[in-house]
Amino acid sequence: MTTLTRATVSRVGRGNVASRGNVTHVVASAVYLIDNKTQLKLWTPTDLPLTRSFEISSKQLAASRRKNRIIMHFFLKTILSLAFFGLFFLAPGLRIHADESSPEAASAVATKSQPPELAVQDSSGAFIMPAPKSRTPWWIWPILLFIVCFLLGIVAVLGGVGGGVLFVPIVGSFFPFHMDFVRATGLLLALSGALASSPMLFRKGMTNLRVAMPFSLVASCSAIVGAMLGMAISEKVVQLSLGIIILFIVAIMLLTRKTEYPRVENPDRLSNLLRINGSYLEESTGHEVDWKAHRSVLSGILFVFIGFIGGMFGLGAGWANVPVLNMVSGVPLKVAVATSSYILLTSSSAAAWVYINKGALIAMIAIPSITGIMLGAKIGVKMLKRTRPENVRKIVIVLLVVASARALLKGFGIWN
Amino acid sequence: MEEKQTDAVPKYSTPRRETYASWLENCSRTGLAIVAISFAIYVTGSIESHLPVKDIPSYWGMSAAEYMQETGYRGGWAWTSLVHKADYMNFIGICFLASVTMVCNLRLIPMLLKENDKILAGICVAQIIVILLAASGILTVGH
Repeated sequence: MTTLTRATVSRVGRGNVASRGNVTHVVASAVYLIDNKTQLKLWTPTDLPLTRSFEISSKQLAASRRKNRIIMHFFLKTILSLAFFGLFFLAPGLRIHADESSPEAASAVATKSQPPELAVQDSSGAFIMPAPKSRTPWWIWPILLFIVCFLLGIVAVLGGVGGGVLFVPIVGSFFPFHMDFVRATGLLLALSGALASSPMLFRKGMTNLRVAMPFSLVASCSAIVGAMLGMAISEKVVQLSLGIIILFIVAIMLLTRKTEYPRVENPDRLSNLLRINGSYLEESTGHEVDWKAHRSVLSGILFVFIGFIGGMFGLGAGWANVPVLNMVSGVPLKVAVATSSYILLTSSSAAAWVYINKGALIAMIAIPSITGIMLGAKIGVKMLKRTRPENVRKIVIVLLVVASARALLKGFGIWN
Repeated sequence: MEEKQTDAVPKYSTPRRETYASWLENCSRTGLAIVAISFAIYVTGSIESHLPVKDIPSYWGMSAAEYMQETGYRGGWAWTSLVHKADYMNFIGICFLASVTMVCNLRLIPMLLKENDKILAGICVAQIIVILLAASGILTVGH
């Protein structure tokens, strides 16, 4: 398993080719290339050799596999074991201590565990129990959050999903933070990720403002409405809806199959009016590809929904932007991936402001998460060369299903 | 989908995109640098915090509304009056990052108008207004 770069392609002679194929599908930010012998993940926003076709020598393939198989299996299994251990045992265990440090829980614990003579009088003269000190040092949480986000960053890149879509359900389900803070941080994660990748995508000419701007406007408006509604409903309803939405996202991940160059015969009137078309340089072939879009009204309606969900749950929207742009609008895959990044940028930015204004921002949650996930993503990009995306994708799906189940259980009040 | 061989300067290579990319890159780097510096100040305790760092776990289990009630933080742009405190200093970088799109779109408008692309310029203005509305704190609902 290896990732080809353009340099590698140029070194492989045509007579020495073991595998050759084309881009087949894209999940969020990753382009997959597949044939019957191997599967390669070629493109993430931070690692962008935009090659449409690939070639790889049998010698290279065998050497790469031999060298990396044992190490990578061990490494991945360790990471995933740690992640599962942390999420299922460590976080809920520590959570008990954190709950005790909240004022309400603290006084409840105090009432049970401390003798009445320790009661003190407050300013109104009423007797209250002093809150006991938390047994968990405060710094454990940012460090644990950083580690989990670092692992999520790796898994997100390897699995080809956005960080926000993993962060919100997992951290929201297994950490003691209120969903308001988790969702705000989720949006800031999506925003930071998009900020990191967008400049390069613009320079490559892959992001098309004619497609991006109308849809991002629609998605931003609905993201604000989603964020406002998300702040107005109770945490239980948020958890319950999040569980259902995550299952829906898993279904999208399993069922959608994208095409590199969708056929667009007749652009609709809105597409013509907005001149939603363009061209980009296909670097692998040196050809310029002209494209046009259709079904803009339907896409716009779908972006209302995507923005709303993204804003309400702080998920970002990479999981849905690409399928809609590619499969509904008929935008070429690479343009869809790049344009999705811009839409994510604006819609996350708009929704994040709603959360910030409502006081849902705690720097001690947001900053370790952002740095953890960004560093993890960088490591993930390097690990792409040595991992089989299909397997990681399965793990991502399992993680999402588990997080969704946890969210549903919390929503129903079965396992808080 | 048409695919054609070309030797000419490709159409995608526009100064508009290059300018937008540069602005986006510079703004996001600045924002991340501010975030990193302010967070370092916060965790090292170089400047006093509004809420002591060790007390934060007492608040993060609360809803945002409860958090504001308990801490006396009024939300919206009230953080600007507390910006001398280390914890609220972190808001500078985060809010800057959340405003980057707006700043870059502002830069884009004159370029679009110069190219006589009125529809896209209009959408760009609308996008700025939407983010401004969200940032202003005018739009509120619920707790």
